[in-house]
Amino acid sequence: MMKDTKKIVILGLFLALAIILNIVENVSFAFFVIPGVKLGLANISTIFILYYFGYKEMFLINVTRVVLANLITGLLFSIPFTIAFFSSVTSMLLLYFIYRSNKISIYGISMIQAVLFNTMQIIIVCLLYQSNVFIFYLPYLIFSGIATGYLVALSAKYLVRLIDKIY
Amino acid sequence: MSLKLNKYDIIITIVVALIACLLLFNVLRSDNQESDKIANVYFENELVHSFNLSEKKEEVFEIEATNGLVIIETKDGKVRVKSETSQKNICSIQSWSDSSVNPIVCLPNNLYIKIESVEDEDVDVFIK
Repeated sequence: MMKDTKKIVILGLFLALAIILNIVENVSFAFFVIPGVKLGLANISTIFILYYFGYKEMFLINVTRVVLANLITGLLFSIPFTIAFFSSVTSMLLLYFIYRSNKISIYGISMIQAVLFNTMQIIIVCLLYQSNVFIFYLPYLIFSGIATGYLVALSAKYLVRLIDKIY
Repeated sequence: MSLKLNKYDIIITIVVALIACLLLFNVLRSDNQESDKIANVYFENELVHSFNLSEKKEEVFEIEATNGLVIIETKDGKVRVKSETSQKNICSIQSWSDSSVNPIVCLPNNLYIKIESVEDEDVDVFIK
C-alpha cells in the first residue's frame, strides 16, 4: 500500500513537470525555422518514467501530458493538438518493439522516440492536409530528432543519477 | 534498459542517419531551379490564390485565416508570409522562399504555400 502511494506521488510529480516543460516549450520562441523542430524537453520526464517504472506508466503519463498541456493552454482538439496526440500515441506503440528487445540503452530509446515522433508527425500532417508538401521537412526532422533525442537522454541520465542519490 | 551508450545504440543511430541522408538527397535532387514556378496558397485544404513567380512582380495577397489576417507577398520571384498571428511565428521567420523543396507552412493558421514547377507541355507549337 505504501509503495503504491509513493509511486502515484512520483508519477504525479513527473507528470506535472512534463506538463510545465511542454507549455514552456510551446510558448517560447522558435529557435529553428523548420516547423516541428523542438527540443522535446517534456521527454526528459517521459524517459525518466520509462527507466524507473516501465512502458505502461510511460504511455499513460505521456498521453495524459499531451491532453492536459493542451487543455491548460486552450488548444484542446485544435490541429496542433490532434497532430501531437496521434503522433505521440503511434510513436509510443512503435517504440514498444524496440523497448522490448532490451538491448538498446536510454540514448537509443530516446533517439528512436524522437525520430518516430517527428516521422509520425509528418505522416499525420500529410494525411490531415491531404498533401505531400510536408514530406520535404522529413529529413531535417529526423536529423533534429537524433540530436534532441541524445540531448534528452543525457538530461534524463543526470536526473536518474540525482534521484538515485536522494533515495 | 541501461544508462550506458552501447554498440546497438550506435548502429541504430547510423542506420537512422543514413535513411535521413538518403531522404535529404532525394529531396534536394527533386528541386528544379530552371523551370517556371507558381506559388499556390492553400487554406483549409483549398487553393485560394496562385502567384506566378516567374513574372517577378510585386504582389500582395491577404486572407482571413484561422488566427487572423495573413499577409503574403511576392517580390523578385520569391514568396514570403509578411505577417500572421501564431504562437511561434515560424512561417514569417522562415522568410523568402523560391524553391519547391522549401514550402512555407503555417499550421496554426491552417495555411500553407506550395511552390510548384510549371512543366512544359509536350506539344506547344504546331507547324503546318
